[in-house]
Amino acid sequence: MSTDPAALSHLRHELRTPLNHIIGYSEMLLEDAADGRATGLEPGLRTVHENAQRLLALVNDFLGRARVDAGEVDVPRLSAEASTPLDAIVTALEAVKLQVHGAGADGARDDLERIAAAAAALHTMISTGLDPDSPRATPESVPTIAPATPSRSPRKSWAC
Amino acid sequence: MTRLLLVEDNEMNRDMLSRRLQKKGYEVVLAVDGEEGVAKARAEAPALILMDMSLPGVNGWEATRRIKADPQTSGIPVIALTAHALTSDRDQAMAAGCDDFDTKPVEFTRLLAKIETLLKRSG
Repeated sequence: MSTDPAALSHLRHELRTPLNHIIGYSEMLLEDAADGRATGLEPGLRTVHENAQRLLALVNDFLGRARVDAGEVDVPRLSAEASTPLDAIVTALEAVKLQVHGAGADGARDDLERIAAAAAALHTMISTGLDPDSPRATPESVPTIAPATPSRSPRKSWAC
Repeated sequence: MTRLLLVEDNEMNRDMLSRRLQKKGYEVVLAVDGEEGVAKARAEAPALILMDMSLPGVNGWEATRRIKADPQTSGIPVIALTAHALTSDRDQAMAAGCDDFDTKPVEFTRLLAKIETLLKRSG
């Protein structure tokens, strides 16, 4: 597995991009809940958001500049530790998606699909061991987590 | 309504940030790369520009340099947005002429505070 700082920096960037999407969209939906829309979804969304923040902290820690420069990056351990918060995100997201209609929050569906697509991209990277040299996930290669079909066309770019 | 220009190539980031800014009462004009960002800075006369640095073609640093070199757009505050939190990235953005810097994932409340500070400063 590569220890090349440029490859590790790229991996960090690739991991942070879908995390950015999960955090941003879940924050938006939490803001909607605070405004009185989609209130029933709040606990699940909070779980998604908190675990995405936890995952981001892991990425920043394991792939931080100091560790990369010191050649002390433990990618297999990051991959192992990332599984728990990612599984929590996927599980919570599934529950939230089932609640959408009952909560009268159908408008949230598209944003939940965007979060699901970002979580699926992360899942692909983590399940393949986060090898910095392996090809990165693209929307075309990302498996669908949920049975629901995204209501919009696939996103073209994953890079920030 | 205060007009902001968001230059961002990633569709989800663009969608997310523009919607959140619109909810806060801003009008948001979008550009998907540096070239379009420079053109829209001239054509749309935004009050402030949010500039992603990692753009295809003309990147955010070069787009900012062009905006700041043009008398018509040089007074528009630019906030650099990058996925990297490194001091060197901040220094590079400031050297290109950016007025402030923030990292992605965006902490929205912090970004709003920076936008408001720069808008007040530019009058």
